Amino acid sequence: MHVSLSEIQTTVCKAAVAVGLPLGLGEDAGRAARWMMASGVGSLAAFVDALDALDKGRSTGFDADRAIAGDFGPKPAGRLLSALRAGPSACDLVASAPSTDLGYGRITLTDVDVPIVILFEALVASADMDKGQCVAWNAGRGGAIEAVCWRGSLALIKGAPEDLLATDSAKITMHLVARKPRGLAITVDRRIQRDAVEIDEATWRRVTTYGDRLLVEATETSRLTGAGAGVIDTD
Amino acid sequence: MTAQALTVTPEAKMRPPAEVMRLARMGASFQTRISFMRRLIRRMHRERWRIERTRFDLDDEGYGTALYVVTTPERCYSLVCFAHYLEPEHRTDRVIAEAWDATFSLFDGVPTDADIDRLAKQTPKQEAGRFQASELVMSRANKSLRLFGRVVDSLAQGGQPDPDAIDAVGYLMRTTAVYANGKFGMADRTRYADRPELAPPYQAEMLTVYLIRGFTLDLVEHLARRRAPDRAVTLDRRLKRHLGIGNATGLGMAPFLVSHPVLIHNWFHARETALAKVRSLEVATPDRRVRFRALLAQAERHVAEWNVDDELQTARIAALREGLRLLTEWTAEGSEIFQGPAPWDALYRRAEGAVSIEGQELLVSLLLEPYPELIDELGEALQVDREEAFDPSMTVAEMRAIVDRHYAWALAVDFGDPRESQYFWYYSTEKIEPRRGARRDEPGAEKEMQIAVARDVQALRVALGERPGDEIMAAFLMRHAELRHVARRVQIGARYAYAEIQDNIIAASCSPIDILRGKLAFFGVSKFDPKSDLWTRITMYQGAPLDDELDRGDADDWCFPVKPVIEPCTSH
Repeated sequence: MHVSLSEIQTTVCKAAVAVGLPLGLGEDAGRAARWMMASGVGSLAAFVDALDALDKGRSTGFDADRAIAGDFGPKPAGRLLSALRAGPSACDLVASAPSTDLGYGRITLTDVDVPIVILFEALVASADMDKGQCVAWNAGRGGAIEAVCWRGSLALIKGAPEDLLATDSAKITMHLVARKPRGLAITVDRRIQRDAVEIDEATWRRVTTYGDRLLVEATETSRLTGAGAGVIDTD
Repeated sequence: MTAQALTVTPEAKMRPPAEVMRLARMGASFQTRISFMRRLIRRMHRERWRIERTRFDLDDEGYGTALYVVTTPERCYSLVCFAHYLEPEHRTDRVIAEAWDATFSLFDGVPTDADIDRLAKQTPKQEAGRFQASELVMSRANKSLRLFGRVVDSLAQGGQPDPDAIDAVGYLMRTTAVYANGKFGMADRTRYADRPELAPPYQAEMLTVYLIRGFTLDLVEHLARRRAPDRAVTLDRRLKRHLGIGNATGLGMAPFLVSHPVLIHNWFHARETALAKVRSLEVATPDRRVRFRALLAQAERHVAEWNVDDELQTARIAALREGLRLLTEWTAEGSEIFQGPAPWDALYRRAEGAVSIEGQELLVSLLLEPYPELIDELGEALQVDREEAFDPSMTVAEMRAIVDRHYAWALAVDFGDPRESQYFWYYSTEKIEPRRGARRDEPGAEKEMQIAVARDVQALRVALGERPGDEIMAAFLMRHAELRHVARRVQIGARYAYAEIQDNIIAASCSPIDILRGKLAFFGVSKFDPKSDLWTRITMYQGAPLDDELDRGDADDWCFPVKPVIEPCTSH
């Protein structure tokens, strides 16, 4: 089915909040999903998988004390690290590296549930940076992936676009990149959007079903508060 | 011309956000030169847009399909109209309706027959339909039962409808929703944001409503002609101009203002800059004084004809009439106010002390009118086409400082008082419409929309106080992910002075209709007709030039419309 990019952004954001993420992380998830779909790389199913993992309790957050030192691991241990929970903070840390003691150090995220989600969160974060963010992981059968997000554009240094879709959890490393990479493979121009984003209905239904959890049942009282309420319509 | 000589820099005359962004003042707003409808009409005039009715396949009952093609210098847009039979029991003003008298799609280009066939299946379903990127806007409208039939009857009998009846209602149809920006699969705004004609806010939506107005006028004449081919007359042009498009606007619009802080800043900042520019003028040249007085007289007539049932608004209109009388007295020919420096500033300051807020805001609108060369360019940058960056390297100490400096209004709210958290806002299962519920009386508070800025800012400030000042926000937010949205917001608020409504919108004292009016004034609507403190009826494009009048030199002179004076009519 045809879905607009703004629908993807708002619906993923609502779904993220519905599975228990704070609004700010939901906003980041929505933006990343929009950018992914605008790029033509990846699949919305990746975000649905990340939502499912949180909702089913397979994934969790991280230990803040360790993460501040650049080591993001799942807390409690034994679960996967939620990309939706950890991604924005990891991107923040990379972006602020020049102004901290971390310098240009490497950040690691262990057992990330859906790595590609973090790649697109890094892509969004890079849009307003004067440097880039490098994201690398081993995609199991697909082999090594290394990508640089540079001011809203994505360069795949190692691996192929189809490798990004591998669904295996992985250890991710991230670091700041000072130089623009050569040969950008994928450019996401925020002003030029494709006419159509086609998503299979089942995937879309999975996202919207989460968002529906935020709806409040209408009551007689609520009906009396809408526009047009309380007026016999002889206008 | 000496009119542009300034006494001081305009910035010195800017009204502060703490004054402008209060609900009481937002709820007293009026349209101005930079309002979106005014801008669209000016562009249509300047660029000589052409509007043609290329299809009008309506039967004797007025049901069928019509097509209006708009030709702009660069491209075409088309309004596809579907007029339907509506069962009386399905007729409702509510957004939650599922059937309407007419439904519309604004198409990007000229639709093929296949496009129209597709839209014939989708457009009438509105929210239940699915659309494509070729559709920019979707809307629907219902006939005014007070007026539509009367107008058709009069025309069919060879007479004109009663101007008083036209004035009392102001529209033949009212829309109950106008959707765009990717809703239901339609084109994202990013698809057309770089087109000059659609780049400013809401231009696609405003174009749609303007075209719907033309359709309603054609529809009544068509019905009269079909009913009495030998006797029917066309509607008097002056009456046509006095007919706009109605709308019932409610809570759905309110959260939008909270969730688009940069956009709101751009609108209010532009208007306040415009006002500051005029107040900074050293002199008011005679030609501008004449223009001001003519508009003031027009506004007085307009307000004299503005009558509503709502008691509060009726009282405010009475105070407004008195304020306009004072303004007329102060600005009469030979008035001393024009003898001193910066006369418009003097007039505004005098009004601040003697005229109601609604009178002051109407004065703002009037002051901008005589100065298109100063004002109109400000309307060119009202849109927002990029997301604001978050600075994670900001320290906790810096964040505390900007909260204290820019959000003192939020920190002053006493949430220990239950009245300050009386309400919660939520999305209803009925068409996912925003609603407001009483927190302690209605279910659903656990699902409330996070738009209580004052409450969130206070939570942020408390948490910031518990962390070392040199900690960066990246680290702070690892411990406080629940504050990420408000941390981002505060950084925006520090950059954009007019970004926030500086009132607590979950308080018992919050009147949502004030939020609505603040936004609707920027649309350019008139004749606010509150039906409660939760929703209002309005009129759009009343007095605006018709599509064959867009090339007239006075195409921009339609603010403060007044009832036309025409010869005695044959009213039935």
